[in-house]
Amino acid sequence: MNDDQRSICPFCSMGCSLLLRSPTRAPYVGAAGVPALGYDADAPVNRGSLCAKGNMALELLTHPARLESPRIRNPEGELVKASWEVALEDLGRRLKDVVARHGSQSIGLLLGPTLTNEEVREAAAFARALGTPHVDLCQPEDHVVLEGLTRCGGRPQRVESVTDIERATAILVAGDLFTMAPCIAKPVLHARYDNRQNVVGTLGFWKSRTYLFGKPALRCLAGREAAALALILKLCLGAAGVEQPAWAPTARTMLDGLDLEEVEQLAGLSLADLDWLASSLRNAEHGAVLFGCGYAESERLDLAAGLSALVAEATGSRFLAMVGGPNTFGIHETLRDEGLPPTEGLRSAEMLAAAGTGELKGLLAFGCDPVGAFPGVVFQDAAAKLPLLATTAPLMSPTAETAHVVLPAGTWGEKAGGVKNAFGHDDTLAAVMRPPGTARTDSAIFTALHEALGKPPSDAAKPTPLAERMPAEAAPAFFHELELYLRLEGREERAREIGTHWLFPEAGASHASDGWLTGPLSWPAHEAPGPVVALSPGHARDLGVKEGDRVRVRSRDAEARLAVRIEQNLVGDVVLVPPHHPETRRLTGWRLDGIVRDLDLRPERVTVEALEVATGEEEA
Amino acid sequence: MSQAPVVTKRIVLDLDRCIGCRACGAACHVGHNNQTNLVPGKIADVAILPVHCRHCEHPACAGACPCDALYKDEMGFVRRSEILCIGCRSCEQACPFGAIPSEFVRGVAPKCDLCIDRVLAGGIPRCVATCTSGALSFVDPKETIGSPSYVGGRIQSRGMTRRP
Repeated sequence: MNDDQRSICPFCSMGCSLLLRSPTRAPYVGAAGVPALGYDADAPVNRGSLCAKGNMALELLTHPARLESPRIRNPEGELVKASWEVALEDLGRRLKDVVARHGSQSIGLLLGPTLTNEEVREAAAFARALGTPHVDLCQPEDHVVLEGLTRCGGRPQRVESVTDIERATAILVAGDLFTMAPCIAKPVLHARYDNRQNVVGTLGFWKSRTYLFGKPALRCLAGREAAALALILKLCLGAAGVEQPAWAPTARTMLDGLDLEEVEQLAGLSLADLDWLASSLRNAEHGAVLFGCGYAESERLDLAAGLSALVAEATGSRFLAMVGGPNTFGIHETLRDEGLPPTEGLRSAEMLAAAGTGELKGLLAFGCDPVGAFPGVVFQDAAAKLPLLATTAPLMSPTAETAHVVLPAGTWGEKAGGVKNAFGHDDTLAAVMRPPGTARTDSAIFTALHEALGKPPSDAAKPTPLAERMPAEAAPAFFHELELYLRLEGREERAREIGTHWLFPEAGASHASDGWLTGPLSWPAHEAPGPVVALSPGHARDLGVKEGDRVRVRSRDAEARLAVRIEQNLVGDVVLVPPHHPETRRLTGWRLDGIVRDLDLRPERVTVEALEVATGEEEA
Repeated sequence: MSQAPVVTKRIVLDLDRCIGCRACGAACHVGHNNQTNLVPGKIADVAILPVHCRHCEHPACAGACPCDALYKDEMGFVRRSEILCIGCRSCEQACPFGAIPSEFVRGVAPKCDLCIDRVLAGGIPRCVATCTSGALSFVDPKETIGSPSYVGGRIQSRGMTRRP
């Protein structure tokens, strides 16, 4: 008898399977009434593996900090507990007030990456009932990657299962994929050690845990993955036995017109360095290109994502792009099915910017944390100015702290629904428990909101689904942008940059500690108790600091005092910080890029100074 | 009650494959009620890898324990009695592999139990099941020693032998 329930890990787009083992069945260790975690050895995606975060998944269900009742902000400005009736009435009143004063277009809806496809449909119906076009996924980095993949015009074959990776004889891994999605390591290393002839190239700017497994391991300059990938694309164009994609002539004209030495200088890698990998990809019967630049590792994340897709198509390799949100692909697709943005409404980054300038008056964040997710002072301070900010959340988050109404929401394990993973497979979440206290699932919250507004959900106004956005002129525009980047964009900019070191949001146990959803769990708290800054040994020696000392890290907008962690593998003028502590998040001064209507993900320049111990500053 | 079977399988780490993601530690932490029974070893800051209890034939930790809290049971597991353990850290000092974590939880020494609940039900330990890179395996050490890739075998072939 097997009464294990299969479900999906809620923490990244890999969509690993896991088993929820009934409390009545041995072996069982867990809190009373909560299922135990089982490893699904037959799972097509992960073969039983789970990363440190995935192992924590069940803790979300019983976490002592779970929100059990709604909270509203009282006239004194404090968040106080309230009943659902009072909270919904309060929210309804505020909503109607904003709509009456500023129109329904002044309200934006942000959807969290953990929402199921069904919940996204309900959100779309709610937006239609409300009359606002501003609905978007709130997962800043994923947006930029998806945008690059759409704009590049490439349509490579997807990696459909890990077997496609295991049997590949040539693999290119761009970015620190093993930190972002450790469960992908098993098939990649299988290919790496299965046959001595196999080539597994890794591309990165520091000796990350992915880089170290490369054969060849290619180190580009910090943040210049896009330039290195452009060189790889140049070498890969015109592979024998591969049908020429439609974009190839444009690409060849553009790449031939470049001064290659300049591009080599920009990338910090020469064509000769890349030749082995490129020729292996060209000649491989089964090749794979895996893109895993996470958390703004790259100066131009969109270009890097698009270029890796193009490299895959040019060589006939399979392609896989990993992003952070567990249902990013599903939400993106569902919103398109629903005929919603990103065509007419504001995007998530624009919504936050519009909140700062006062164009947007109300923001409803469902299962997401826009204040925490959008780094930088600009976005973080914008949310505080809103006349209406409401959120549904399983745990308190920076957004919940500033919100006017907080509704406790069910999370993974408490709701059933469809999701889509990075492999393009549809999967389902299993519901094994009821949400704690009076918390409701987002789906039930949408129903309640319809009632509070007095408007039923209607499909009448539903527009026709948008055709998959693949305009013919997309590819030339992409290559034009790439050309600008490779030629001069940035060079003058960089000359004007202040600061001595590049700040990259990725350090140490980042996979254990990222996010408001995972931060409060016991293992991250144990592993990465506080924000740190990782320095290379040489850098630490120059500053005269040792492990554990505090330093002042100063960026354009903010400064932070952080403990030092010396990272032997770090090289060059790079410092790393964990991505999701509020202190380190503020250092990154991302802005809205008006042209691409999304975040300008350029890495930040920072200055690191040792704190004088004598002044006693470090107690602060 | 029937005689428990002797379990000869042990947790073996393939150094070439460990990516240092620490999922094994997290799985152990979750599965043993927030007590992590394996040590995150560091090799000169270059790599982090798990150090597991070997369940030695003649366990030094058991010899060092003043309370007989550590003992080798009939299945071949080195086990720790939570009631007898006084948290004196003798075993931590005695273990030649450094496999007893220095962070004592609930006042007792954390000690790998090879996930006895899962192994007796025909499963594999949590750390092995969760390993993201395929570095950990649950095998009979004799199989590993017999394999051509085993470095010890190559050393032995040059005339170096293990002391009896």
